[in-house]
Amino acid sequence: YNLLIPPAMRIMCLSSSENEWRHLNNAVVLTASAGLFVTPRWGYALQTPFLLASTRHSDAELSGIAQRCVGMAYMGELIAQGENWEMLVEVALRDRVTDELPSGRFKFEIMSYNKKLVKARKMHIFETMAPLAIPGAVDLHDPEIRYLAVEDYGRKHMSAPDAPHRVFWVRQIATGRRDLMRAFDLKTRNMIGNTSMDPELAFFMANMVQAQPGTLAYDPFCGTASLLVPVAYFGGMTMGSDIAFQVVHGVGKTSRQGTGSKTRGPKENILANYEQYELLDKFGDVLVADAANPSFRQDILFDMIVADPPYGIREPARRIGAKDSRPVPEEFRDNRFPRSKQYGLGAVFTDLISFGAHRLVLGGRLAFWMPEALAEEFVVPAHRCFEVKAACQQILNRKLARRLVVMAKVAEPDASEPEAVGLNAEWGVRHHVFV
Amino acid sequence: MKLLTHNMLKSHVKGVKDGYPLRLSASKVELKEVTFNADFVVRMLDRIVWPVLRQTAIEIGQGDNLPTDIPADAATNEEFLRAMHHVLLEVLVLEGELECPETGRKFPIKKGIPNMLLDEDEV
Repeated sequence: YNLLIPPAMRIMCLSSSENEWRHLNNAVVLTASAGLFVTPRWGYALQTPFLLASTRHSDAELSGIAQRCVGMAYMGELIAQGENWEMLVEVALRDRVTDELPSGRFKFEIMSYNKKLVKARKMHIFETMAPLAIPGAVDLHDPEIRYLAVEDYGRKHMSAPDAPHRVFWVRQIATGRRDLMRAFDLKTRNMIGNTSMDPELAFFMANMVQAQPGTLAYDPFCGTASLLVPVAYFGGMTMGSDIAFQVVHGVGKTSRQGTGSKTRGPKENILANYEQYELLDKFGDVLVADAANPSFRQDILFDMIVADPPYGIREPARRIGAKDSRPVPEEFRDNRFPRSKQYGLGAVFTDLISFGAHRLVLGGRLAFWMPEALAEEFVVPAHRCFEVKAACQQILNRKLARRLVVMAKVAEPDASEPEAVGLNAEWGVRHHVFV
Repeated sequence: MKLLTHNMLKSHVKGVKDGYPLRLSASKVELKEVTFNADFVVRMLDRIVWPVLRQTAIEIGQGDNLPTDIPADAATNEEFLRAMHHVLLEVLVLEGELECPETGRKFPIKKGIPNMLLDEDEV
């Protein structure tokens, strides 16, 4: 029965830059699809945009995977590689790689990384590759197959060497989705807030929680729904809540500058964002609710939870409550905002993880951002129901970073065991920033 | 607010035992078409409290063709899935109230958004 398994194919993915995050996300998306083995590991500084992998997926399946890769420029089958073109051709001839190639109208292009090639160099590549008898006829206008000869001249911002470090010969399978960065740009989004997530990172999160059609996602600190929009784009039904009434209702002071108005306009609301991206079908609901006091029934299950809780730096972390809890006179109950008190950062993340342990399906994903004071050792929260998949760091300034923590639920919570996540309720980073 | 959301919400006023289901009174309801997604509805089959969904839909005049119980073949019964899809996602309560079954505490729904915030003496 082994014969039924398609042969492994080596692929090369070109990330849209050397940015570690983009690499990471491409690797996440690739490894999330069964049958793929990808070389880079978490937190690995690759310092190259090339990512090599091995897969048994078909071209059509790989194209589907590439549709989720916002940090990828290109994906192709790796036909041959070498230190230079002469060596590549020698190996390709020896291994008769052209025997395996599909036949059809093809186009051959040249691409270089970190160096602009002069015409003579391109001619040299064409001439060196000439002995390879590629099946099919050349068609520059409407090719069925696209081949790419790629030269890697090393890292950006480093002076390029005379000769490339290595060369690849690749057959194109798909291009990635850099276009989504423009389409979901915050500059053109109907409604933004002070802490709306950069769309690229929000798409990364949607990939890390494996958002897909048929799933139900929740963000307990949704703000302007900047984390939920990419989840919805990948097909998840999204629910969000936030304690900030004005944000959820799209009223009050605007975060948009230069419109001549200090208050939010008629299109500055969450629903208008979903409408703008034609995602209304994936808008579950948004609620005004306090994450510290969830109003979902105990047994409701989500497939994924995404969150960027307030760190108490740009936005305060608040929960309903007061030190002196005087009874509220009945005649004042309507038309008043309840009093709120500080929501300690340690408690924010402990509550969030505990909520996830109870309200996620087994195998469900929880992804959230946590601030990190660079002066302190970062403690990744741990919970017996979760396996930590990643804790990727993004440096914000000299004192502060943040981590995208991704967890998968691997066990059901047990009432008899404490739900410690190793965070002190008083823990915070504010004192490192405002010294 | 969709009935999907209503099905998931409970009252969390301090001291409440169950707080479920919230009694829905709707003064403004709108129907809005949502592309049918069988996958999603099937996944919701065992997450939804069906009697609550059905009863609430009937109360706001949208539950005419809903069976008393989820049919045994629900996952492959497109007619049923479409009916469930309709009440889960296409019925929007724009104005109304959610009432805690134990304390009578009312949570307002304004412009389609429920406000589940408690007062500081209720948490």
